[in-house]
Amino acid sequence: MLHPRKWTARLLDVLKRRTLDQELDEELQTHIQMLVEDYVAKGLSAEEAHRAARVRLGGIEQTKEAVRDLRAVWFEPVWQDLRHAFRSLRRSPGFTIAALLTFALGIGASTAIFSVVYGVLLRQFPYTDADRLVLVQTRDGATRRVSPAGFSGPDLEDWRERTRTLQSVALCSRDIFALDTDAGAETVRGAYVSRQFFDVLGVSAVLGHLPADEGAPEIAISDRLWRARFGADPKVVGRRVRVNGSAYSIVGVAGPGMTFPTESRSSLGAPATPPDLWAPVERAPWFNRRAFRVGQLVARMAPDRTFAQVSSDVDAVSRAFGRDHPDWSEYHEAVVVSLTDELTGALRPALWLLLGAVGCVLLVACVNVANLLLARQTSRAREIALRVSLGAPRHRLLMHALTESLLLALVGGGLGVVMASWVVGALRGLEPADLPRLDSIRVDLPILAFAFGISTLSALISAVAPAWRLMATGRALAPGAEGRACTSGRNARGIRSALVIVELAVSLVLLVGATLLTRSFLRLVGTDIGVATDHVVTVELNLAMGRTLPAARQIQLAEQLVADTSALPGVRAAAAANGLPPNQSRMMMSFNLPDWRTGGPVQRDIGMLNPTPQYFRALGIPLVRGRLFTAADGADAPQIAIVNVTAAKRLFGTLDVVGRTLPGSRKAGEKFTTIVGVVGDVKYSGLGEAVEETVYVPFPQYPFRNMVLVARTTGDQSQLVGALAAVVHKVDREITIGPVRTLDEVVSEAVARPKFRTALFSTLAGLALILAVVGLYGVATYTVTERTREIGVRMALGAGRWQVVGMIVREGLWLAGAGVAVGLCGAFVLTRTLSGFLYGVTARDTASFLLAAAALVLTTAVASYVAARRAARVDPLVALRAE
Amino acid sequence: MVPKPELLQGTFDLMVLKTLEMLGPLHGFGVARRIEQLAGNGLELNHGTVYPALVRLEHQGWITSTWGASENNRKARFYSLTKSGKKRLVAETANWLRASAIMAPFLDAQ
Repeated sequence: MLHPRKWTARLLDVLKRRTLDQELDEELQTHIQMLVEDYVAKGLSAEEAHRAARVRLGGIEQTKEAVRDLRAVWFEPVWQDLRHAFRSLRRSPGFTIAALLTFALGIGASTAIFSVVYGVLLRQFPYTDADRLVLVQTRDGATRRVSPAGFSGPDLEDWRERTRTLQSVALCSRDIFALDTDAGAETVRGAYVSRQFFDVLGVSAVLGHLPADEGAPEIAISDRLWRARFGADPKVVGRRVRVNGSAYSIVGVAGPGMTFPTESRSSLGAPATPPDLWAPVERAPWFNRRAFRVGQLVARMAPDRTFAQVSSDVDAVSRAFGRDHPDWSEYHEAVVVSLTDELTGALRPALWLLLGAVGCVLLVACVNVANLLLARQTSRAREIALRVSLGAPRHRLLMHALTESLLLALVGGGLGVVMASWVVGALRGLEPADLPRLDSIRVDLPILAFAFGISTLSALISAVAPAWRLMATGRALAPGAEGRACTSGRNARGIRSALVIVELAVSLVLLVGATLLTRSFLRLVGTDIGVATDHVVTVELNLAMGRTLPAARQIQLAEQLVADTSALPGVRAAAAANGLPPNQSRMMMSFNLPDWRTGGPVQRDIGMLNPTPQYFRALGIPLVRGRLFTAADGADAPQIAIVNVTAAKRLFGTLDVVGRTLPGSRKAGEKFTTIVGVVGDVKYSGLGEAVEETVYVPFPQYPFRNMVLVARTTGDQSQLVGALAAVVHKVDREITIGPVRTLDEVVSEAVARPKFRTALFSTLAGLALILAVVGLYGVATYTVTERTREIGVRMALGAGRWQVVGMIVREGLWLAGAGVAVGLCGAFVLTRTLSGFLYGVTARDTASFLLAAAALVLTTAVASYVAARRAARVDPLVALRAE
Repeated sequence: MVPKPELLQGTFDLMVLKTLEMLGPLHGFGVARRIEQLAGNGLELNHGTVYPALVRLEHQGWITSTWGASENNRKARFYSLTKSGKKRLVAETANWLRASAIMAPFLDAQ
């Protein structure tokens, strides 16, 4: 039974060991002297007395040893090992630096990617019990597209009463607000939310409280807006502001993690931003109108219900509600999805893919270090032999190897974590809007625990091969064993070659993946959208933010804007419409048109645009049949339309559809819309999707307050960018302006996510390739050194330098070939996981496989050649004399 | 009777404690000598075994040590009993006596 106090004293003793040793020595010397005195007193001679004294004491060294054993604490051997490992690593700086860097790269990259995965997918949401939250959205019957809208204010009450598995339900809808403070006015993207909203989510305010009273004119703002607009002023609570012209007061600030409700991309594909403002939906102008179905329902599942139960409940209510409200069920059916899935589900496959890829990089790094350890072991063969012959037990040798590996991994891992936190910091600074939950991506305790875990794992993996060889060596050298020690030679080289083959195979798998993704990305970017994207400048406008605008005025404003823009120098054509390729979220036109082949009635939902006449010219959309819109096609003219090639073919089976009609018309009294022209196909639903049917109607016949102004210019785009905003302001100060961008920028934003994914994956593949090739280079160089004698002999016997080089390069290529063979098999199996990310390229695309294999063989050939040149420089005389 | 360390470690410790209790602060040599004398019957003690015992007892907190001067003015380490050491001695002695009271008639039995 040891007192805790004594325990700590014993630990301190470890540090004072040398002093204590000396003191014991003095004590024993004194003891001996006293014994000698005693014996002399008894009559022995000095010499005999000394001898007798030593015998009586029983051996000084043994006594010291016994005391030392007592003083030893359990971790003493480990501590010794650590110190020894530290010293021996310091003695070989080249090896140590190489191993540390390799570990730092592997562990750093893994930690960086894991922090993203953890932050986005695994970390707790700021909502209470986030996995109990669901969204009720609606799905369009025809297009099967799910949208976060479809419910109005009165619908909310109905649904709350009818559903039986939902504990609480709220309504929310993203919107754009005009926020007016003393500092000025700006547009803010926010959301209308019902009074139960914050309660359903279970969040609380960082400052003040969150609005829950439907009657009061209270809003909450986001942490981001609070810092950017109000300078993080704690007295912002109670501030009076104007929102959309009405007086409100700010009652609270939401935490930085509050990013709900999310918005789908704007019609221009501008990245979705989290809401900056939450206003009571009960005060929205459309709240009490049953037909204004712009909201989605967010609800908390009742405590003892499963998602399946909620799903069938919602299905049942959807059917019943649809029966009572046929205008709703004509286009909608309710679908329930879990909140967490909605917020992060889209990214899940990509993130796991990246995690898998970085795991491969880590594996290659570990194998590289294992190779380094093996090489070092071979060069310390004598030392090991000595230790074994001195009786070192095998488990101590193992501990020794493991300790070195562990020390390298932990220090390298520490460096890697530092690198990872820089990378994560840089990523957060970039604020990529495509990455949700940016606030929860950081390097903190769980990430550090992960880094520590994989460092230890890496140490273990790296130590396997050296430990195995050590055991073999120990067995061979143990007393009584026959034969020479196999500390070098064929066996060692065999293991190292095998390890290099593993490295090359793993990097090939990653290379194939990177090649597939890159080719797919290039196909995507090279897709013909159907418009000429160069020299076009665009700007998103809202004509009637915070005010009502009659249709006539909207048309007038649009025409004025277009006219003034056309008048700018360098502008060849200017137009407006309610959308733009490639990412427009569109209005739909619905009608019933019989199938041209069978004659049976078919419900159609076709995307619709409402451009001004110059739109087609501005975007370079070719006219195929008939005519384009003119100024004569005004609000009072007969209802007309232009269709695209795909629509013509699908609806009528031919391109000659000029003069044909579509049922339905917006004008009172008219029953049909006449087709006056056919234009080329344009992709409006994303680069990766097929072209869909599109109908164009003249703007005056279908005005809309949200629009996009486009202008094609012959001259410098940047000039136009500046001038455009001024033009809009001059026409009407109250028009809210979104960001001005060129069409090229819009398109490149559409591919931002695949671009990032491909770039990251390719970087990881490149990293793995570099590590593997470096490993190969190491083995080749080492082979040259080892076989210096053999090379000397060959050269002395007449082999030319180039023949020797050729021999080394051939061996390197052999390794590469084996690596490619194994890697291709692995890639064949594994690339299936990529199929969700590929466009225009299959997962078994032969060209990509061959390309990747060729790249690997080429790099290994170069590395072998560089290593082999050292062989060419071997002087046969020196080599033969060398030992 | 030569005590074998493994068997009688506990009893040897007890001897050391008792010696220190009876004779006050002693150095290592003194402890060894006194044990030999007290045990009687020509006990040939390996003096070296005293030191591990002293270190053990010091770790447990039952004895403490200081440097001092011996009779011949040699620098020596003197060990003495602590309060908890005294308590331990009392307890262990009682245990021993109880054990031997049980064992004696048991071993004597036919």
